Amino acid sequence: MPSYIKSVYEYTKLRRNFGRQPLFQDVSAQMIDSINPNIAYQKDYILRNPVNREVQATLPQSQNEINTKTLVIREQGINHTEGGWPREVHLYNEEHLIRHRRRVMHEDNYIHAIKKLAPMMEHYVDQNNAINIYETYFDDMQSQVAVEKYNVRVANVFRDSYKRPISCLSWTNEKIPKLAVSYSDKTCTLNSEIYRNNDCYLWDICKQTEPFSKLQPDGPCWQLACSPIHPELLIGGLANGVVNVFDIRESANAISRSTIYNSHRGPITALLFTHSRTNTEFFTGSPDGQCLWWDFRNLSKPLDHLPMSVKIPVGQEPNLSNAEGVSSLEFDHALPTKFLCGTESGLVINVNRMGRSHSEILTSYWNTHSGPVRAVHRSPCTIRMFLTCGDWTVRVWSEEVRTAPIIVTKPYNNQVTDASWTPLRFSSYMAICEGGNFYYWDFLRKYREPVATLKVSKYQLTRLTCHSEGKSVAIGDINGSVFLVQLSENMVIPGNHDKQLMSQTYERETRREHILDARLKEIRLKIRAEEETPTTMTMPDESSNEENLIQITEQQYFKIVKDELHQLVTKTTPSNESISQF
Amino acid sequence: MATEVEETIKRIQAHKGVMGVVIVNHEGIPIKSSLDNATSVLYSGLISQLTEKARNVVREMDSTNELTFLRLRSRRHEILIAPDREFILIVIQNTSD
Repeated sequence: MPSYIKSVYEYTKLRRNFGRQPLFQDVSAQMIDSINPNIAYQKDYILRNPVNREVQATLPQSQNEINTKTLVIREQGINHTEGGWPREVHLYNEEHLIRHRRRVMHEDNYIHAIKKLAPMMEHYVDQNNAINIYETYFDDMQSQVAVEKYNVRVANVFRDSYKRPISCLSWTNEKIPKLAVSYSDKTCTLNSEIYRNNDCYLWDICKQTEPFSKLQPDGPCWQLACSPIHPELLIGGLANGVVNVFDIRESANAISRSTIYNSHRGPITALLFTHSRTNTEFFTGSPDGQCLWWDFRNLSKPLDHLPMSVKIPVGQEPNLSNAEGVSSLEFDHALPTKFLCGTESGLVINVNRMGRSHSEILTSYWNTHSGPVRAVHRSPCTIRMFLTCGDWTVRVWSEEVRTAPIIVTKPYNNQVTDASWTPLRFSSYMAICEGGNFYYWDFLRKYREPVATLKVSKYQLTRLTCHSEGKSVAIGDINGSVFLVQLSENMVIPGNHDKQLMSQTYERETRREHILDARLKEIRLKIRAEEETPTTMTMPDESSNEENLIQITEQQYFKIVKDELHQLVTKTTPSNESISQF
Repeated sequence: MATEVEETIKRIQAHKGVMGVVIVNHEGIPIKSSLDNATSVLYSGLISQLTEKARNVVREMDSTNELTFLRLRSRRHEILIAPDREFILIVIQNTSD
């Protein structure tokens, strides 16, 4: 065991020398030890060059984590069942509630309020007990079935073997009437094979297999009319404008004819007998624009002619160049010197034969349709009312109102080809359309739609004539068939107050149109007046008006304030008394 | 005074068809009621709101006008509401006979 050197130095120090301040002395240097460099060791070392040193230049930073206390959130609904109690009163304490209630009941306010409200309440309670005002009345009543039944049925059909379209139908004026039918195609003017046969038939309505007799006009017959007194005489208007007179006792051919030079220049579209002493006169209309009057005893030339020109340009005379083509005529024996004329351009002209100048003769006109007026017919009940049919509608007009029809019905699905009033029943009229339907309208029963419809044929219907007794209606179509339609009793005979009601309807509608017209005129006048007066003139007027207005309102205001003050003063005295009572 | 009011209420209740009478104050507390508490509280809460709404309607239409009476008719019965400044008198009457 090697002994080691004790690295201990012992010294002794007297106790009285402790704690003294050290006294340093300046002593010269003493060499204690010296170690010489050892060259052998030196060889083990070299100089380090370069020396790598790392330095970091950063901001002094420190990281610290903290956390707040978590917030607990909860959603909750509140159901307010009872509340409003004052704070002292606890809801579950019966005593408190009763006490509070008693306290309120003794208040003045409470007593006063209840006393005031009670009589009113009693009144309504009694009222409710007296009668149940909200019950449904007439709950147990059944809706009434319509009393009148409309029955339209096809009684007979008369067919043409050649299937030519029917151009005109007419009833003869005899006891057992026959039906005179003329066939021609109004649209096709070329002489095609089928239409070479121009025969007109006279049918006996009981016998439908073959006609009673035949008439052979010189050309296709467009219009046919039967003489009012002689049932054997018939007048036919042809496609070339010539008039033929037939006597069925004599022969099938025409017994007299008018010359082509004196007749119309176009086909005859309307032919009617007029009023004359001898009942031999008739008049015709044609698209050439004139109406000619004839006496059938002497057809060499017409008695009178009238060019139907209403829109005459300035400086011209009325002649055929500015005339309107005639498409239908209407004559009523009640007005012997007047008649209505429907034109190809959609006008209806009111003609007075007794006028002296041309403008007096053609007194007025209406713009009725956008297309030729296919029928014009006056009402047998109110002479001043007439219906027109054309394009897709049937319209009822009044002679007094120029601007608009008085009754307009919904447009039909097809074009309306003919319409007429029923002869005996004041409120009804009939119409036929290209769809093959027959419509029977009654204004007093149903205003907006026909009362009865019947699909008569699947072809277009062309003409309609009603027998003067009203029970039978003859309808023709383009396939050559004539349908004899029977109407039920209630469609023929008028009701008790029909005439009166219908004339009332007429009056009402005319008045409505008058009012509308007047109002329109008023508005137009106002617009025109406003345009004319210069605007500078109105300025000083307005300012003076405003001043006046201000003064007037001021006066009114002060008056109202004074009144109110006065009332307040008078009110305070009785209310003071009432408070003192309590 | 208070007895008069009691008598008035009893009189109304005695009318034919009247099922109940409730008097509500402006805070919504049923002061006097002939029905049970739950129903009275229901009536008072709902009807005071309705009355307030109706009053507003009348006032807004015409500021000089005010609500005098309100009738709520339903299939089973009719609720008659007479509002006042502070109180509302409600009567439920059976109308179907």
